[in-house]
Amino acid sequence: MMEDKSPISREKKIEIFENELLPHIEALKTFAFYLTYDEEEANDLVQDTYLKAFRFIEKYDKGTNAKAWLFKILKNAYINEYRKKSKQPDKVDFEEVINYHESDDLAQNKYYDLEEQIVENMMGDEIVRALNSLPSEFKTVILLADIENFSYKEMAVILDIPVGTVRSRLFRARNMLKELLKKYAFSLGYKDYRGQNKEEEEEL
Amino acid sequence: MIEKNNALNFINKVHAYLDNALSENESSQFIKTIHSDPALLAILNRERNMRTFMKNNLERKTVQNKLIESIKGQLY
Repeated sequence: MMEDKSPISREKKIEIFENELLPHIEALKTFAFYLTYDEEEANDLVQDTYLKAFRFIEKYDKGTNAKAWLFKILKNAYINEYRKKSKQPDKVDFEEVINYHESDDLAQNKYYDLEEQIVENMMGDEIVRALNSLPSEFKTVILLADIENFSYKEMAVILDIPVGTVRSRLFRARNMLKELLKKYAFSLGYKDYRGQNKEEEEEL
Repeated sequence: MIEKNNALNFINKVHAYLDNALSENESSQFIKTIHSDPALLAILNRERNMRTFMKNNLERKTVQNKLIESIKGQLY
């Protein structure tokens, strides 16, 4: 995908750009938005991604995985240029949460019963808020896997990490998300928290 | 009932199954295993429900034409 190619004509570049790269713009916008939580920054990030993709289009093999290639460019642009000025600093001491996963609690039905009820009673804004609270490395794998349906191998390419690391990071990320949702539900009284105490809701 | 020391391995399998990361044989074996124990099937269903909930509630963003035109305008 990334090896140097011989020069191609401008017309050919535009054809590849229009037919293979631009169709992924909504997926890129969604990814960019959940990384930045800012509509304007997301648009800027998408625009920068496409400008870079066009500049390096010789490195793209026509007919291969354009979506993964674009996501890799966007992820690198976000890390190198946007994360420093992001309005959403990483908020969670994730080691504390990861410890949950590494304990035996997964074998306890109580946790899963609880989780099922939480999911049944949740609304969409709570999952968005919890996702937003994850460190970006963990948020990223959830977005790539669960929203964009990338395979472990594709994520490994996009993130420049081994497949095993993708798997373990994703595992941890999902548990962190559940833990946040569980804490959030408890903080609001769990059974009948909807509509209660907006001040507590802001604390997540 | 699944033993505690096998729980993490089982949950790993659940994730791999839902992520389409198991081979055909592994998937068949996994399905047989979970159907042998309703508690295991319940875990799979809860994990699947969680993902469905996320997918349904994380809004996909739309792109306005002016963004596309702005990109194209800078390129050609």
